[in-house]
Amino acid sequence: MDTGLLIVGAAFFVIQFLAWFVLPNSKQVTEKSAEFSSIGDEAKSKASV
Amino acid sequence: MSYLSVYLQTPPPKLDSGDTAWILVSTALVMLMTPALGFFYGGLVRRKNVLSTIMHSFFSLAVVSVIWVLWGYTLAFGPSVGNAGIIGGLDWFGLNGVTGINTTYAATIPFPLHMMFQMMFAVITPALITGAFAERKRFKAFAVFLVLWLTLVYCPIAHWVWGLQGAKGWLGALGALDFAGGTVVHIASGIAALVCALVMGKRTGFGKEQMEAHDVPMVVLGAGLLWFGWFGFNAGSALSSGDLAVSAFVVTHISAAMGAITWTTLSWIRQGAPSVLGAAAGAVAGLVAITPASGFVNASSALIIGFGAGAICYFGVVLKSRLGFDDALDVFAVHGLGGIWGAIATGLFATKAVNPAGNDGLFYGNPGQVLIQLAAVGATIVWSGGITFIILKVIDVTIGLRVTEKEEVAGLDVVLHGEEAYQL
Repeated sequence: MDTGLLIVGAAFFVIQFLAWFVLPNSKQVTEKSAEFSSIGDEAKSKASV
Repeated sequence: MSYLSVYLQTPPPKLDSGDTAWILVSTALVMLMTPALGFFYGGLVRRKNVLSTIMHSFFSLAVVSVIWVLWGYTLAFGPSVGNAGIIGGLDWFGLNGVTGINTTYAATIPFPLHMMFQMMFAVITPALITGAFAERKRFKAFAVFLVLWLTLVYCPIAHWVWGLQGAKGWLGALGALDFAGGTVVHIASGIAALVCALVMGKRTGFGKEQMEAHDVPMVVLGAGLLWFGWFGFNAGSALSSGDLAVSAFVVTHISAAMGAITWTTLSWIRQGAPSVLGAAAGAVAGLVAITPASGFVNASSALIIGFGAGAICYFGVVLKSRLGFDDALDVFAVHGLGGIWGAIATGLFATKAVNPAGNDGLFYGNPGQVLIQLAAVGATIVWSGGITFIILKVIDVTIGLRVTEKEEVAGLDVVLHGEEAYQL
């Protein structure tokens, strides 16, 4: 049982590791996401200027 | 055999300096978790509410410590009233008789140290709930809630699960396994948080304006300190410094790591970027889920428990967004769902090879343990949910739960505390 659980647990990690190869390098920045991507109110006030 | 010969053959309880040193350190580690929680929550709110949010945790540290000394410890761990396993009596009110060594709870450390170690668990549990009503609760409503919730919800549930004096708590007697507080701390607080969010309603502007974390580094600092303190929380719950403490230490770390990895990957897949906040939340989710299991499972199981915690809690947050209730800092998703998963996982993965005093779980030939764990989860949900609802309604009728809309817009730091976090 211990070996079976180890294989399952390891698989959960390896699958994620493989997924990292195909996941995007950087987030697509839109006008809206840029406005709120920084620190809360400060970002909003800068955006409105 | 005469009483005298039994007396002569039974060695007197003996203090172990190694065990005592470790539990002293663990107590300090768990104490640190509450200010750490303040940072974690403080970073997640808007800058106008950071002080009021940190104050919730810090004030809990002070108030609960006093309650614990007066009546909290005896209600939770004192001799069971009528040997029914429902609630402790007042025999140890004001720490009366809490001296020397209590062999029922811990045979090798001073009795007052057990009291202090458990005090820190009591301190952080209501502090966890505060994330649900952040940015809108009156301070005096919070202060009253703190006293009532600890007395009426935490103490009874702690007695049900961990009480041993006179009689075992009824959930403990049933065979429920909760090494460090999956039901007592996390499910109880997570369910209370959900009830708080539903009863108090949404923050002004919720869903119409951005309410993003104002200081992500503060959140990560808080999460890092929580992770650090959790070694005391789980490994300290062995109440000794031997193999069991080391095993709990190992699985605690593994589950936190796997939770952080999983939440990060999921946020990367769904939102197109590996979220820093997600890594912090995932680590906490992993820590929550391993808490009840930490003294009963091995490292392989900890990988699976951490993975499950990262995934379940992440989708809990997603679901919350769709359902539209305002659990401001996702206490239910992380502590409620993470705690429930941890309690069930204990019933799946527990093995006597790790802890002969525990039991085997489903994967080690004992499917009945899952049912017992489900019973403990259900009882905790019903009691915490019901009593929290009543407490909130009573406070709402008497002193009012929420600040006014105008005060909420102005920010709770200035309105409630007359102070500002940042002079920029």
